[in-house]
Amino acid sequence: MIKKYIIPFLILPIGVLLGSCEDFFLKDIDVDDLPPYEKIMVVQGFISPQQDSIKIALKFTLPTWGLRNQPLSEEDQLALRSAVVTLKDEERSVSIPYVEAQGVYAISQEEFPLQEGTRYELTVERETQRLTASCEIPKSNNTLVISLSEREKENDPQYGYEPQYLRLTWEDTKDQVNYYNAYAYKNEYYTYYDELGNETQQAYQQRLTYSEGYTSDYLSDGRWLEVEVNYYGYGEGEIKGVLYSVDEHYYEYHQSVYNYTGDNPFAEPQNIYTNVEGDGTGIFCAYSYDSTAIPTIEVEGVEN
Amino acid sequence: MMKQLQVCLTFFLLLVGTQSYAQNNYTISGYVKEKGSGELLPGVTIYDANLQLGTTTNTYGFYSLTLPAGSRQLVYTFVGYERVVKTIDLKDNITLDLDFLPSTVELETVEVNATAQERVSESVEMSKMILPVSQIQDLPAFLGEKDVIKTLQLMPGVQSGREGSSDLHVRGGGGDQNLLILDDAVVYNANHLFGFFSVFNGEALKSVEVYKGGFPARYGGRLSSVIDMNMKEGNKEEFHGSASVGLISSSATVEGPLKKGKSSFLVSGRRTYVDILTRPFMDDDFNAGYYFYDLNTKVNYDFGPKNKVYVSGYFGRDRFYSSEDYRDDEFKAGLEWGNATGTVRWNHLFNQKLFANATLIASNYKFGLFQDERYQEYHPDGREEVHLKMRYNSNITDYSFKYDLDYMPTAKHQLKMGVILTNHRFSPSAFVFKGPETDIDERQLISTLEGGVYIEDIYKPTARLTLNPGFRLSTFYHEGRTYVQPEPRFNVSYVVSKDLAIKASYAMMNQYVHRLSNTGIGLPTDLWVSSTKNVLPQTSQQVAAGLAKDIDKYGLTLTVEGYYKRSINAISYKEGASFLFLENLFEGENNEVDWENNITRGNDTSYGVEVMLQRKVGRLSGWVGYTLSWSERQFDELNLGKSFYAPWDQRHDLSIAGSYKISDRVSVGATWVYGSGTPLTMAVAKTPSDVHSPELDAHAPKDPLGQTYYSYQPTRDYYGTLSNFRRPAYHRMDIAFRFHKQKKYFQRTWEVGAYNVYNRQNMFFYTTDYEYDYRNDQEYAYLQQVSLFPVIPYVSYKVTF
Repeated sequence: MIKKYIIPFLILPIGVLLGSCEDFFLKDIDVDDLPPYEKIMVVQGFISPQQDSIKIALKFTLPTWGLRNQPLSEEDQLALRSAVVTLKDEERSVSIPYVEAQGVYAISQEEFPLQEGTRYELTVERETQRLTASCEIPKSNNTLVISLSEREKENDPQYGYEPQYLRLTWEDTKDQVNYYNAYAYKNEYYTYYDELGNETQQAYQQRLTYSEGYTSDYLSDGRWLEVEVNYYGYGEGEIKGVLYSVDEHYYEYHQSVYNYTGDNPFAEPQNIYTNVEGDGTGIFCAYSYDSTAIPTIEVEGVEN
Repeated sequence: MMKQLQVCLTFFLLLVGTQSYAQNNYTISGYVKEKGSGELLPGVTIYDANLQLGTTTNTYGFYSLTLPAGSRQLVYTFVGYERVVKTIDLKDNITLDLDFLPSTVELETVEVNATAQERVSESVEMSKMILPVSQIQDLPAFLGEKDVIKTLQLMPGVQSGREGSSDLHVRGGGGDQNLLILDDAVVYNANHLFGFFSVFNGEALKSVEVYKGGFPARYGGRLSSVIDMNMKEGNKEEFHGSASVGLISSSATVEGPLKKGKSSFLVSGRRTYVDILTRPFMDDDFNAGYYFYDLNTKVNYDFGPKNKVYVSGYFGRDRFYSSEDYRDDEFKAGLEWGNATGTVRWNHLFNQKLFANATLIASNYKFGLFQDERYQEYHPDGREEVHLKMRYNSNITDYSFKYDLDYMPTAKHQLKMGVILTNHRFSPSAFVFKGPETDIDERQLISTLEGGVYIEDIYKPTARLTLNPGFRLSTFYHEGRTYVQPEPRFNVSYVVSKDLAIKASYAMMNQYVHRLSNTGIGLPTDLWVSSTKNVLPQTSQQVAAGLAKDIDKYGLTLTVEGYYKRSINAISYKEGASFLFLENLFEGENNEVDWENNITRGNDTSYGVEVMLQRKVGRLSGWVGYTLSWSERQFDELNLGKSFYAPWDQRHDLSIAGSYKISDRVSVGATWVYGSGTPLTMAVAKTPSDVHSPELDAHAPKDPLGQTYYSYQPTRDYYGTLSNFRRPAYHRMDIAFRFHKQKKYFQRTWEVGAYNVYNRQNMFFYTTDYEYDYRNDQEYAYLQQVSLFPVIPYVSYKVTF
């Protein structure tokens, strides 16, 4: 009785199992069965009165599946160069031309100066497609103070010296919602030998703050705000702090880029923040900073 | 609020007041037990066919029926048991306890004793399913592990079609919206091994009732379903037991009298043994493994007709571990999780019409992670032993008191009323890290109170019409904020003809505790959190209507139901939210996620039609269930505020489950499930996501080179709209043959079966693969489907004595 039932019953599935095991666990999905690639325009513009020029970049989204890093076709390149990009405020309007050398749409602020506290609207038109976005340039804040804590005298033999704490503080402007990017850097130099063998020094900015600099005055309206980072640098030099007053779009966009969790399989899907409406995506945002009020600090006598 | 309460109470008083107080009414009451074991039987129908009045036994097998004096013919029926007819000359109140004999299936004929079939047309309740516990044993199961939750997923209205998941989605509800109660204790995590098995051991269960809608007022606290499980009490007459050996686990159950006829016990345990089998193959210095176990215990004592006491408990654990010894160094790490519940119940019979039950309940779910390390640190002046210890725990503990009354004043009214108070103690994160220079001990404890008062009545104004109005007032207190929510409930049933009834129901439900998880695969790290002043309770309203027909000739029941459910303040996760709480943990940081800011509120709408054709008796038994449903969500902060399909939206769900008794010694069981694809959000493009770069800004050296002042970042996924893709349909067939033989002292059963008989490649998850063509500088990205289980045969051996 048992044999009658079991033998054919066991042999058949085991045969199927062995025959199919290799291909069973992984199967490529045909690209045609996936949601179609949405090729849409992407606008990127970070405008500020303190810039020499206004620059707007126009790109296309890229395919997710299949061949991904193909150079843009001539047709696409032409399409990205031939859009009509217009910037306007309540009184004025300007068409921003495409500048081949920079690969962006750009215009000097001598021709179209931007002003703090003014709202600007960007329009991008290409054939039947139209994108719009707007932003208001925040007023700069000149209350930034930066300070560096004293270094501990005794250094840990195993882990090297303890870090110092670099603190950026400023007074929030009361009764309005404000967003900031508190930024600090140190000018450093590296030495290289040019083609003739001459020793040459090249300056570069050693960045000291990253995403922790993005802050808002949520629940702290009108108070002194603070960003503190560890400072591991040494040697003489000058640390500079810059307080960017940024608009909400700037803040939300950078937060979403830096907090992007796309590589975490357990995280919810997340679109990068956009304030662009119409046939595309991207960011058009504004900032200002007070260039005359950059505090500096001397770091002296640090022993390694 | 008070006004609503007053209206409801007045309504009840009016209802009860309308009863006719005939002078010569007498009460018949008693307990119905299984003959031979003394196991009390809930759900037995007692019916006076002439008067067309009846009742059913409650959870503790008690019934009370008040009828006019005279000669009364009472019919006792219960599915799977012989029908009993008692003729009584009713001239006084009487106590009538009954012993019920399990029916045997007639093999010569496929005709069934129609009266042994549960009659759906006679019950006022709708959207309710009674899971036939004995049938679970006859159906095939993954690796032979019989599973209540997996069997539930074969029922209409309960979504099936996900590989290896014990998460339940009932009528478009979320996985945390199910009230799973085992002997009145809430079980928070029903998963073993990330959802491949559930914690409920079919051997220890007496009954499993599932409500998908039309919720009686005695239940509250979750929006979408109630799964009420009761453990067996244990045989009061003689010792019995069973033991089985399967591919991954063994289980044993023993039950018997402690004092014959008065007291009995039941102990049922199960443990996996992959770790024991693999240990000999491990290196001496290294050991790693996994196991889970369950232990169900129950004892009861019958103090006489007035008082009975039951004490029951469940304890289960999953544990992954590894340990390594190298010279003088030692390293141990692992994770474990599990539920523990304990219930003490005291039944008291005040009089023939008033039955009371007082319950004390404790329930705990705990997840823990541990790491211990000992090593030698060498210094110029000697060596020193360093001990590092890390513990991370997350748990929820409930203490509840519950008092329920069953009051049966006349044959036309059956009132149930009661009160429950629960103290939830959430400890979402307790972290201990101890080392030579570190001593961190951080604990969070949140204590909340949840309460409920309810009253409901089954009122039969005419022989054809049955009403079941109910009202529950639920409350929740958290840090100075109190929520008080009225929850009206209503069921109505009208018997159109002898075997056909039409039914309708309305229920409002509230949910105050929420589960945070976006893995969707039953990781034990899922965290239960409480409603707060910012996170409002979830509230749902559901209406359902349908018909129930008994097809007596073939022993079939047919139910067709349509439902519409709307939930407000439903919880979802914000874009990009992640609740994997363990990131950075081993770096010594207590990575508390600000969960309140990671969730968002919105509305859920689900609607559909369910059809079920079931046969519980006879040689061929089983069911066919089909669901056509839609489940949509609308959240202001998701998908630009536009509505989108819920991740568990499934248009078609078809399940066929059946067992056929070929002979006394051989039976075959088979299931086939089909679920159309569920939605998924898939990237449709990569979007450039450059950022403003202060280094290139004008406060630095000017930008003479014409640099753009933003810096390049990798492209990010662009999803367009949510739920923009559907997984392929899921379907699978399982089959099992069972061979029984009566030996001298026991019956043995060989079971041989197979999971996924025709080797369907069902999707478990998707992964991305890349290929790089260096010659042409081309990168290709592929989406790959990962499937988990091909056809898997299994065998198990069981003895029952």
